[in-house]
Amino acid sequence: MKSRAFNAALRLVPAEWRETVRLDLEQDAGLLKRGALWCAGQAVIVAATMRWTFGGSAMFSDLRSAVRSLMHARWFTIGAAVTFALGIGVNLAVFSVVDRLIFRQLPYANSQELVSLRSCNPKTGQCGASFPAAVTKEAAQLSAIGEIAVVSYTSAYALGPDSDAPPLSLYLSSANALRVLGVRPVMGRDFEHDDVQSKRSVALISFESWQRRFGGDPAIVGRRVGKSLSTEIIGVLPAGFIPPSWMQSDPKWSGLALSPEGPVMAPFARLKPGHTVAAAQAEMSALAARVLPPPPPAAVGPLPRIRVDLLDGALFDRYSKYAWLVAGAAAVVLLMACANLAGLLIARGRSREHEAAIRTALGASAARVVFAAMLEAGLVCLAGACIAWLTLLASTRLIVTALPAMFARYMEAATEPRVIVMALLASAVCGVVAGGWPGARMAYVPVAAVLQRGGRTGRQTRLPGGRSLLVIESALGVLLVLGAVLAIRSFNVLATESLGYEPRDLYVVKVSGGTGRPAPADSFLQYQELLRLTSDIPNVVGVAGSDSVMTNGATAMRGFSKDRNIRGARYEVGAGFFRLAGTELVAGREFAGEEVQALAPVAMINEAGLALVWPGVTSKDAVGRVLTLTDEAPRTIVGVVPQLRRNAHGDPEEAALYVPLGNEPAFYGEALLRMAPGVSPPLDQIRQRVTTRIGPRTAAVTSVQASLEPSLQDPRFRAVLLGTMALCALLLAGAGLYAIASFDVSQQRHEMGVRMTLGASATEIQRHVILGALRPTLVGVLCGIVGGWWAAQVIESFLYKTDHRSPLTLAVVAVVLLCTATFAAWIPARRASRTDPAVVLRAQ
Amino acid sequence: MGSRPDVPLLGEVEQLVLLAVLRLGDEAYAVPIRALIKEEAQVDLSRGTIYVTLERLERKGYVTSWFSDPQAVRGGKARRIFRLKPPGIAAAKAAKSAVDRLAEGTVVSPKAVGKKA
Repeated sequence: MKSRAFNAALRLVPAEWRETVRLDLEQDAGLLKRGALWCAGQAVIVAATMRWTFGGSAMFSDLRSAVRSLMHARWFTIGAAVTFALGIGVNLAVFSVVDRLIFRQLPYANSQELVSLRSCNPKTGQCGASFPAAVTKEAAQLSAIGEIAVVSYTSAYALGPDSDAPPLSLYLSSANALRVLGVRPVMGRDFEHDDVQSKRSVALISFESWQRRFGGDPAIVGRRVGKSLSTEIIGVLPAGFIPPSWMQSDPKWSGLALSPEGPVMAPFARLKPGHTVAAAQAEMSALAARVLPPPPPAAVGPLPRIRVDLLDGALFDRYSKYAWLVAGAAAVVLLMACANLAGLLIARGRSREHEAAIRTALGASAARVVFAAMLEAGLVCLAGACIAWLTLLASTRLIVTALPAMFARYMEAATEPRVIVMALLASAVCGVVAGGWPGARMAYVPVAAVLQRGGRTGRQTRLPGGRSLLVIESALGVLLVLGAVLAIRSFNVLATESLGYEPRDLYVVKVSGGTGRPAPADSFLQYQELLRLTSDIPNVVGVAGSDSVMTNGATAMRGFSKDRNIRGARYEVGAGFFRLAGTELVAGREFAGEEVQALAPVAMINEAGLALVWPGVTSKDAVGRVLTLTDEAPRTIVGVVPQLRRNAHGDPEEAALYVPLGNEPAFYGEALLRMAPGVSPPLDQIRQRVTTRIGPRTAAVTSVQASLEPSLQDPRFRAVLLGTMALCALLLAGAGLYAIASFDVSQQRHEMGVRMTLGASATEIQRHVILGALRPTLVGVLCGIVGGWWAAQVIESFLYKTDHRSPLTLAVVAVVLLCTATFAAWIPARRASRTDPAVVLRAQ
Repeated sequence: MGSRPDVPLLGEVEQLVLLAVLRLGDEAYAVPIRALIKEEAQVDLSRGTIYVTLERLERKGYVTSWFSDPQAVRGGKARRIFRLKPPGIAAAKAAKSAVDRLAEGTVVSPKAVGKKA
């Protein structure tokens, strides 16, 4: 029976049985009237059974042979392992960071049954932390949702009366929180009903804090913390516990404290058995419609007033897309490392064709040759993974300091079993992928031809498959370099774009505290006193009053309009505020002193607000118009303010309305100070004046410039992350191209000798080699740009003001890749051009 | 604890294959071995299992094999024929008598077969 499939399948059978199996299967096929494909299938089954039974000893012998062969080619092994370590290292680091966010379930019992409840504006979709008490009271009637629990704001607890150590950051929690989550403390007890009734101040600390802050003290239960040692630690939470609070991600989170009865914030609950999120949402919407006051007709939108979401989604939704993007970029690096390793192994396999032919001639089956190649690749991958893992182990602290708070909080240690398993798994998969291709090439070498020509490598002068690998590597490289260029440009825009004001030498003085809350009018008088007392401090260039423009605080919460029907914020500013801040108005003027004193019905609006209230009206035309909002007197617009980026993170600007300071005097406490260049405000002097002239208050001074820094951390991290990956990609692509070009040069030495004898110059030889390597790179770059066009749209959604269609961006990417390729090919090209033709031709 | 037998005990499949080789004589190659076991013992062994068992028996020195001349028919082919070696016969006997001894006096003993329990 002659069939290529049958013959190929027979090669998988151990050599000593191959003929027997062939004869027997042919006979069976004749009896059963079956064809060659059936025979091929049967042969594969027989081969699998035999190899499974007798493979152990063969595998050990292959392993020994692979180790010996790799040790013999020491420099090849080191080079291949180090380049692979680059790829797997990036992946291990990324995996340890994103594993908790996208791959693991929350550490609660049946976490898919837990839901978060949020109170939202049905028109704008904006959800807040506060939750209507009326809904909580009636929630017991719901058939889909069980009891409601709360883990909300953070509160600082000092370790002792005179302790200088950083305080414990505990989230205020309801007594039933752990019960709803289905979690038990590993030491001590849970919060109890009795604690609530007797208003006891008790806390549960996280396992990590117990280990880090208290050195794993076995007598931790019963220990007291707080300035007056009034809070008792009653237990330790399990290791890896995540507080179910979507409101904040405090990297210093250290446990839960029993919350005194108060307003319900950011609640969560467990679905009752057999109920879905959709059913719970329907019930909750019906309940909200029944117990909440009806919203103004204009506010009724398509969105629910109470949103029920899976807790998992509510906790990590904001980050999971970003985490997937990072994981995807890391996977591309791994793919490149894999392609690179395959290229190196193909080159090595090409020079070992003779050895492979001898093995085949001695009876090694194709499967055995392929397996041996995979084993060799797997060992290189394992060595690379070990290097990468050790590097990760040594650099975990460094990585944590560079990560944004959210990621730093959930980064897993390198010693975590999942990270180790991931390293082993990735090594095994890459070994199979990178070793399979060269193995298959070696398994099917023309034995007779190779043996006849002895150790020489034959007429083929270029590495078969090498070009395809270069195309793949270049295309993947383009994706990563494009991502990096976009991230770096985005960061550059954020760091250099105008904030709408001049933050240098600008400070915010904030006064808080005091006994009892003064009446609004008294509070305003005290505030005016604050402005006066700061204005005559030496080196103060100017002082202006405002409420929370720089800190997005109290008045911003009041909303653009009183009925909250327009999504935006409202601020109160004094005369000369924008001049002092260094803001250039888009149109009109700012408030005059008399207007502020008289609380005149005037307002300023920003461009986003203008687009919302009068779409299509230009800034110039808006000045002088009268703005009428629900429940308040009409206001004349006197000026249009540009975008003020208070935290530099590049979010789209919210609509903002500015009204004269003192309109709704409440608890103002901020003054904007401009100091002489390079001079800091004297905090002690300010504090002393505040105490003497206002009363016992706490005064703090914040530099506006310094407060912008944390918001740049995340974009900077993105730029550094994608930049690092792009650098790895360039190194990998360069190493791959270098290996393949070097191999080609070594194969073409004879041809080079002939060319040079016929008069080719060294420059022509160099050009020949470089162009040979650049052609596949160019194809790869073009493919990458086409793919990048689509992928960059995804990347762009995470970045601020970038344009992937910009010809400059694409040109930079192409140039970077081609320069790397040229440099990588130039090294072997230079070597080739120095070939002495006489020596080469004599050797032939 | 009994003393260790001189002849190592055979596995169930090894016994079947060994007996089939014994029965088939000069026609003992993989295809009829498998067919005989299926017919007489009602056990459908896979081809791979037959080859693995024959390889194992050969390694233990119980069987020997060689390629026969092509069959004397048109298109006739050679076969890999197996034959029991003396240790194989001894092992088959030892396995059989071990089973018989164990079955002695029970309803499954050869003497009891056919009688009412």
